[in-house]
Amino acid sequence: MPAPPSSGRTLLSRALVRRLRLLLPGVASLSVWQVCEALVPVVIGAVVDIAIIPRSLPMLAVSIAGIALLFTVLSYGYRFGARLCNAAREHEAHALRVEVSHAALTSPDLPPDRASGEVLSIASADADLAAEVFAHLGRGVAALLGMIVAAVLLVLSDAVTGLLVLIAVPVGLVLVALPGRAVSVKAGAQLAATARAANSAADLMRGLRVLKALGGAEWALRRFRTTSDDAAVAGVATGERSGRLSGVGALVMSAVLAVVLVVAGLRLLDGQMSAGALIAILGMTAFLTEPMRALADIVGLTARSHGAASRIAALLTDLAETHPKTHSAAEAPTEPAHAAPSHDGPSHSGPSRAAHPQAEPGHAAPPHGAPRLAVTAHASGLTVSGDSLPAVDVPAGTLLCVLVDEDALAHDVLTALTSQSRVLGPDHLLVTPHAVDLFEGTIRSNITMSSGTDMTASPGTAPAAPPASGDVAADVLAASGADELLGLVADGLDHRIQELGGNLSGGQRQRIALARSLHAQSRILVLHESTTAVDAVTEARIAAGIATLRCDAVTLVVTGSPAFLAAADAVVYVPADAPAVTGTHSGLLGAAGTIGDSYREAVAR
Amino acid sequence: MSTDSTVPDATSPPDSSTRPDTPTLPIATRRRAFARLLPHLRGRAGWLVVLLVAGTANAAAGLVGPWAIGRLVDALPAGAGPEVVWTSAIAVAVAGLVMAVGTWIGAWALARVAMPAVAGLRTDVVGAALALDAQTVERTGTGDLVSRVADDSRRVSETSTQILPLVVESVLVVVVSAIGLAAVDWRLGLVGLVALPMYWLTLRWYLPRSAPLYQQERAAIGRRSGRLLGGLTGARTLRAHRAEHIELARIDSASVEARDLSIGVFRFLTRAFSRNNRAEAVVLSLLLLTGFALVWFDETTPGAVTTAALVFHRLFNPIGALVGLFDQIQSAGASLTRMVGVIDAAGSRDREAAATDTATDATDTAAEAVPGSDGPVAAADGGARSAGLVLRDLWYSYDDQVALPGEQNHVLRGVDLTVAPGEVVAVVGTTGAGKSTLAKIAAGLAAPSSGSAQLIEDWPVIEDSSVSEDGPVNESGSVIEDRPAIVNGPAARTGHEITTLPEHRLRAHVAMIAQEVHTFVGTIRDNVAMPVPDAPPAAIEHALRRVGADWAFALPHGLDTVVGDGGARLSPLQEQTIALARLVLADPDIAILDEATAEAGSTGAHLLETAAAAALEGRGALVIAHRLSQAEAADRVLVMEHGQVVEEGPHAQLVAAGGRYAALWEAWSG
Repeated sequence: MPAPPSSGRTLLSRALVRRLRLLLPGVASLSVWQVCEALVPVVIGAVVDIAIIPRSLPMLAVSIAGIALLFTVLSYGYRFGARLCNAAREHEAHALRVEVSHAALTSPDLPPDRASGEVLSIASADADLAAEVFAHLGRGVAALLGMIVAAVLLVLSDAVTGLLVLIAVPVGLVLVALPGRAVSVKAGAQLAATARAANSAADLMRGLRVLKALGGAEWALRRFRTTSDDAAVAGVATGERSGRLSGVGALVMSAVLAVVLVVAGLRLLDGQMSAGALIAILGMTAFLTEPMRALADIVGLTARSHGAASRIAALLTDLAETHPKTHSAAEAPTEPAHAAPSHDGPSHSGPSRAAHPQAEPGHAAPPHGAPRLAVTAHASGLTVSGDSLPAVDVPAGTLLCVLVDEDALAHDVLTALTSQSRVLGPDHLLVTPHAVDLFEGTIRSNITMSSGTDMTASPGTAPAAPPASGDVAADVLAASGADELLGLVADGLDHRIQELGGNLSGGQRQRIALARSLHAQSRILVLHESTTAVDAVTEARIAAGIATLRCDAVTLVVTGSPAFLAAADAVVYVPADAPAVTGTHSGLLGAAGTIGDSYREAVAR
Repeated sequence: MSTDSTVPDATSPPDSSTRPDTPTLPIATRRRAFARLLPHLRGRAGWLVVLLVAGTANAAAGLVGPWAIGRLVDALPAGAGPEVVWTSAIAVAVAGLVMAVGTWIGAWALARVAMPAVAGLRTDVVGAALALDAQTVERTGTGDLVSRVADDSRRVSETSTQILPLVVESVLVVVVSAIGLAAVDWRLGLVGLVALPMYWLTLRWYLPRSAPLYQQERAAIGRRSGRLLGGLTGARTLRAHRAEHIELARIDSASVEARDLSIGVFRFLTRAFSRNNRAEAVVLSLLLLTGFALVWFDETTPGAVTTAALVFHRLFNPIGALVGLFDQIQSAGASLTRMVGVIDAAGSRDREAAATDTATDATDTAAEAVPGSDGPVAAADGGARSAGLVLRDLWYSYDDQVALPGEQNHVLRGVDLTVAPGEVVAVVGTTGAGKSTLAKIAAGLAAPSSGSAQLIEDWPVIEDSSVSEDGPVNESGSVIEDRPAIVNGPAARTGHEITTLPEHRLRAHVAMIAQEVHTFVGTIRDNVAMPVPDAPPAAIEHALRRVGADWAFALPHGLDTVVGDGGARLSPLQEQTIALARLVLADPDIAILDEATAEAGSTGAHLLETAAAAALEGRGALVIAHRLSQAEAADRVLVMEHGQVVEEGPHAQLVAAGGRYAALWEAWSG
């Protein structure tokens, strides 16, 4: 895999090189268009000069044919040039988008400081912005060529006036551009204020149910009115300033036109210039402001594209860097796991090693000594150990619950298991995060993790591949409690799931995620507080169902739910300020002393 | 709706008996939209006149350049002196001055007219959305509202700042130039009119084709964003199942689809521009041909023809802009009608509410709970009174075809429930038992299909916590003697149907925290103050302390820390304590809690339960129990199954009875 572009500049130049086939003809064609636009006033002058003033019918015919030709070339020049540049832009934007999303999804983990929202904005808005550089490039080069042609024509029609125009117009534009920056800052502030008002409205609408339930309408309207009025005030200020700027622009260009008019008029008077040339020169003076202004805009717009390209390059570099980093972090805990595929030997090969590696990445250990709790997967099951626990192998057919008082410790144990699972694969070890992710498709496609549309499922090289047909076993549905919700929705398993599962409630989502985890039939399944939004009655049914369904496999549940604790074969409890203990739910509930007290306190009922 | 029963608007037909236009809100006609806009423009007629005068002056001054060139073309070969050159140059310079001032004043006046008008409309829409009745909001969902109130309003705002000035200027330039063309020579003016049908034909060809294309493109881009977001947020799960390639393939295909559509849309756009070019060429040729003929017959001068051609040349850009921007103007217009649709939907409700208000306002002042005051309200006759709820024979169905009680498909099947002042009632039951629906009806967020849900505002508070089933008696001097409603029961009592009560009056007595948690963009202080905007800082701090939100004071900026989307990140637990603090500040007589501790781990559940208990202190409550410990703490427990109450009584009594609740408790407490 080639290294990602190191900076915005390299990303843009790579883009340029790989879209050259579209860009070269595109820019050439656009330049033809711009030159033709410059020729329109020249042609008008020429027609007056050669046909109308001399009253020549043949020349009139030539003129009309010329206009037809000019506009045909102009029109096709724009059409094909703009299309080619636009195609380059769209293809590049798509390529960048695909690159970013592939990098983000295949990297071991998103860098911690990058939220998925930011990646989304980079993959959509920034990819578009960066690729927009082609549109600017096309317009910029074309504008430049158009100006050069116009300049040559001006000097050819009349050297003195031509040179005057070529000096006066840029000077005038600079005069106009000077206060322009301040205005664009203002305009930016106003856009931001408008965006703030829109965001505030969206925020209030998303929380509308909360507002309705508590009676916060007055509060909301007051807040919004302030934001909205601020945007209006900013809008008036910007309108006035940008109006003043265009006013100055009009004044400056009129002054230039007046000066050119005096010089050209006097030269016409001296007989050094034809009427046609006068029309052409004055017409082009007016025309020249367009490409020049476009060029000035393009500088700013290109800077924007460059900024977007830099953000993309930075993200790609970050993502590429996480690969080696996370591997080194994952190395320690996966060390015992690496041995797993090579043999199916005695399961006690791991424990002694398993206890230590956990301390490094997990930060679960107190400053000195063994970790408070370590869980390691190996060939035939799990090994649980800790500072006060001798290493214990968890054999197949066990439902083990872990109840940890400190959230940080639970997080570390899960993180370590997750990095192991990346090496072992979902058939061996599957760690299901607490947060449920649903994907657009059907309930079925979300359980089988196949595409909701036409794609076929996983590579199929795995020994215990789930049925690729998309059939979900009835016992999986029953054990996850998903069977109950299938009766409530239209089309059962083929019920459509919207983006992010937005049309389902928390409990429904959790049960689909549970069915997905069970469907994968991994030898070791790790769940984390997976039924928090499910009602108590159903939760008890689910706990019992999972224990029965996974009677040949290892299931580890990190939870405080009494339903799961009661259904577990064994419970490992790690209090906040005491050594870890193992036992059964009823045993621990009935335990005397502080450990029993803190366990009873910890069980979330 | 229970913890995880179906979301109604996704799976069930709308209940047309309550609102015929759900699940989507109405769209206003163009005329209505304009009528809504008019009041915002009315106060700014002066600025409108300034805009018109300045814009016309600016456009007219623009004609001086072509006129001066034409004059030179005529006068100089005819032997005029240099004074013609000088006067022409001075005219151009003066015109430049007029243009400068005209542009400046015009832009200013336009901003003065458009910005406050758009802001006013924007605020109207948000106000209207906030005033929509709760049942409508529950039914339509907030998605449509977000799109109208945020997205459409943003489109209108941006159009008014970025496109409107260009459009106004272009229109004025086109109109004034056409007049100028006719002034040069009326026959040339006539020829210029040929442009009108040509551009009109372009639009006729373009608009009907562009609208669906743009719509498809937008939809494809939306799909692409949705898949990107789905893949990115679900990255962990995809990785765990080694299923990244599936989502990547879907993202790629969505992106390809959007790309190809965008390319297609642009190809189409360039064809429209070609039509513009064709019109330019034809009209310019016609002008020169006619000019030639007129010069041939000495009807006009070459200079006049020059002026005419240059004036028309000057129109290329404004006309191109108008044609090119037309669909954006149209789309802004469509957004406007969608915005006004929300205002209209709320407007009809406003009038109803206003009617109810005037009928009751005269007498309800005494019954109004004063926000911030603790405990029961002292009524006019001196006895301590508070509010209670009496729900009788509630039936509810998401399916509007099933209107009659006793039929199938009812989520609630004849539920009776009374919440006396200060009494905490917990509801326990399985998924789909109807718990959340019951809570919504009690909070006025849903209207029962049949049965009655009443708020009793003057329920005398009896010190004995075991409140009698009889509830309040309609004593003399009752504060709600108008429109008394008789509830079926052992004794007559007065009350108001919750669905007919104006929202502000209902919320003074009943407030709810549902499963949905939302933290608004703003400070923590702002967020807590939501139910009582003018609450003093001390009250807000007290509310936060009461629910144990001490973490908020420890933040770097304390209560002024900005939270919500883009602000400091709060844990789900912290967000839920903010919701509870709001409830404490709102201080209702009856609180309805349907908060699932879904995101909280074992430690969180405890904290939240303590916080909830503190928030409920001193008021009546209906608690949808997601944990049996919540039921254990309640005064009374209702066990629901399939929309019916199967057991009812205090916790200890139910456990002793050995029924369903006892079995649940046995399984739960281990």
